[in-house]
Amino acid sequence: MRVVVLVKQVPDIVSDRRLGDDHRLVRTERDAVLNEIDEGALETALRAGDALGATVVAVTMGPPSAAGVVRKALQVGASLGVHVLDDALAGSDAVGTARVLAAAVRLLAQEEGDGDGGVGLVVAGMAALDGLSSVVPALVAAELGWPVASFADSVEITPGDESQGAAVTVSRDTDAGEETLRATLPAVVSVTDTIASLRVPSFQTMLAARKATLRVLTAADLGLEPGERGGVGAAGARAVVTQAAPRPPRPAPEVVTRDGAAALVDFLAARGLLEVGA
Amino acid sequence: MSAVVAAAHGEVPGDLARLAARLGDVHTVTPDGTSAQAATAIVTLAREVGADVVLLPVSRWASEVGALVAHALRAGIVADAHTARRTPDGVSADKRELGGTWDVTCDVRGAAVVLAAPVADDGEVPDVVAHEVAVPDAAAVGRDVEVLARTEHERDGVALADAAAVVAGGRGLAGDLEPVRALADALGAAVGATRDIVEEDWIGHEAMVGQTGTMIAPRLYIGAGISGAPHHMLGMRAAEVIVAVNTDPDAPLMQTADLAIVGDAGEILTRAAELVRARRG
Repeated sequence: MRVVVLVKQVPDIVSDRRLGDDHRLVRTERDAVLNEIDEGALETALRAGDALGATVVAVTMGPPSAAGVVRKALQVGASLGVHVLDDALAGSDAVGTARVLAAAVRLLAQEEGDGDGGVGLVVAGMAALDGLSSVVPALVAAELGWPVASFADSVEITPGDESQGAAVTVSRDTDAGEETLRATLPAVVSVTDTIASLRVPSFQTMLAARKATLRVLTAADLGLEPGERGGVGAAGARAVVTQAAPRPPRPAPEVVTRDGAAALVDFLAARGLLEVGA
Repeated sequence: MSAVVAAAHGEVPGDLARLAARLGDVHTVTPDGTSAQAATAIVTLAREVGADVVLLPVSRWASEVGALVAHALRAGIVADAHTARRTPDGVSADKRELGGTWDVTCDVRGAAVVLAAPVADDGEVPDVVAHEVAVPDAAAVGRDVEVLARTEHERDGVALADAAAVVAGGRGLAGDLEPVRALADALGAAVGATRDIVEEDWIGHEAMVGQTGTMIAPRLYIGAGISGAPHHMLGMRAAEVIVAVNTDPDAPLMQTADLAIVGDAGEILTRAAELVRARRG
């Protein structure tokens, strides 16, 4: 069985992030880091792999510079790295991205054999810090027809036995309340930034990573057809950014260094905000 | 006029209904059950009333439900939109990206799921058709999670997501949130917090403002002892008026504020609460 962890390269949040003339995020090798929340996803996948006796496969989609985040996954113990690299897939929207990732999961499951259980679990970070859209994990689940538990604060694996299949139990806190959810595998989970810290690479895993091959897959390898019909790539995107411009900087603040309490209340009164919450 | 479904957990907020009314006749629904059940109920309703747009308020629940709805309706999805309008072949939505530093317009052709960011406005709630829906049974949903336990959040004081005013505290308060509560109480505001102090257990998760907490857009936001980590700023940047109180004038939140008060946040808030009470009588 395999556990798949979805990782993403994002520009460092402290770097000068910007959108290019094509309205897409400018990605450079220099600023590229592993999406912070994905570190917890990676750790969760490694632990799930141990619990299930499964190998961990790190999957990313992105430009050549994205290979770095897969290598990082290999350094901490993932057995295989997959980089979906194809210019024809650039500009995919959230739906298209999920379609590509789901296709990669399907391929990995098929190769592993074992029927539908080839991939038991897909783990992702709850959001990418570059786009704020935390919809991709649930879209991947919908593509696969698997149950999804997003925003997990804890993930527990119950290995299967003769009486029942393997399952994942997730606790989470959403606007719907505090929940404990259970799903039989295969399933998709996304994790929050509180889940777990990523382990430090060991000498063995570092050594193994050096020998590991990073597998590159194209749209054709995944049986996908970029364009309107296939729903992947820029031409297949249903949601397209048509305008992008940096916002003007905010005006400098009014700074008060004395009698702060009085200044605050005067300011609220002047803006008509004393009764705002009434 | 075309139809729009506005859906939320619990209650459809006024700003969401107002945005929906700009896109068509509004049908509201507040489905129960798992996310997959809620999505199935929304999809059924959307098909029934012929809606090609589904609006949900940005939240964790909405991310999951919205994705499942988008998949079922073969719709495009836009997250974090603060406004949207009809185009000849779909919907166009405006949003902020990269920590609120860029204005972006995103066009969706065909059916659309829009996750709407909270907007600081308090206009009239438009006419809507409110639908009661049953929780779809398992057969209609397919493979799904099983809910082993669920505790709805208790609403203590003013609810954060819809509050017109929020007083939030951070590490600079050194463990004592009483000054934040006092000022929030005096102003009728909700209490918010940074991820840092939630992780320190100074206050519960329900108070967390930020990317992985609650996204807010109050008319007034007061941040006390908060430096302004990106996580927090992403959650409150839509506030109309921002006041920051901090000993460090160079903290990012102080630089973003309309009014930056340099000083001890605990003392200033405690005193301000007394002054507000005196003024309001």
